[in-house]
Amino acid sequence: MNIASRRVRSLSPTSPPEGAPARGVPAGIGGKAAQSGEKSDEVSLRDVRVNLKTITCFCPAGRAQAVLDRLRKEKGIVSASAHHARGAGLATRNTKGRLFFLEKEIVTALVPADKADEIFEFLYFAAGIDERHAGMVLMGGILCGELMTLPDLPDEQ
Amino acid sequence: MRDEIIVLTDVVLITCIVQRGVADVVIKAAQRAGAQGATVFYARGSGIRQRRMGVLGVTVNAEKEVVYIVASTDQADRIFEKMYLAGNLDTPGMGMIYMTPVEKMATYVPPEIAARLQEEND
Repeated sequence: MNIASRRVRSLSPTSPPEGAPARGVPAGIGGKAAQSGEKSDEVSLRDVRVNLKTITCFCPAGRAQAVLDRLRKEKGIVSASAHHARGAGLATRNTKGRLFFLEKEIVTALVPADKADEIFEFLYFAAGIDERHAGMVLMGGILCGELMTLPDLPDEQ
Repeated sequence: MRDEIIVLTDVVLITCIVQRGVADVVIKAAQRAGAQGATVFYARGSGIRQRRMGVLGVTVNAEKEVVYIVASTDQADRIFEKMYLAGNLDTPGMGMIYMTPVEKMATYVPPEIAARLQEEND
């Protein structure tokens, strides 16, 4: 099948309608309803933030929960989650061509941009990425997002 | 030793979502193309069931595997292409693949390699 001969149809508009916010910014920001102070009957979009970054940490299995706890207690970051994965890399390289995997966990955190470098460095050491074959930490930008806030309730241990 | 973090900036993240059981084929193709490692986890997506396909009736498996590969920018296109071909992603239902930019990445770099890179930069 010739990939180049396929017709590609873009599903996104090439330019926003007149009066609409800039591309990549939800209508809730700077929209006419927000500016005029009108209150819509529908659930209103909260003012999403655009100065956020994602930090993804690939670490050995068993460390994610401790990392999440430290993120919350020491850095105040609650917009983070973790899930299980398996990883293959230099530590599992086999000359016979077979694939071997190690158990991994992926921690994903959404952080304010001004704290991103600090959290990046914190995760690097908290997850033990400074050890050989431990994993890696990535940082990427996002178009817009909203952080999670916890209700003001006591946390029963 | 908590002295410093070596940060790499010319990297991209390739994400490939395929039907369950296909990830190994895609990862092997990526490694042959130069990828250093891969991370895989399970997910659930869209599938198609057809009775004529037997008892389970699965034409497109809704159970997916998500493959993450971090690659340098100069290798990314080649690895992307090899993964695409190995996974038959041009066939409907076989999966999807995309590449996202990474601002920076940090991992353990052995001191001897770090010293060599520092000499090259100097």
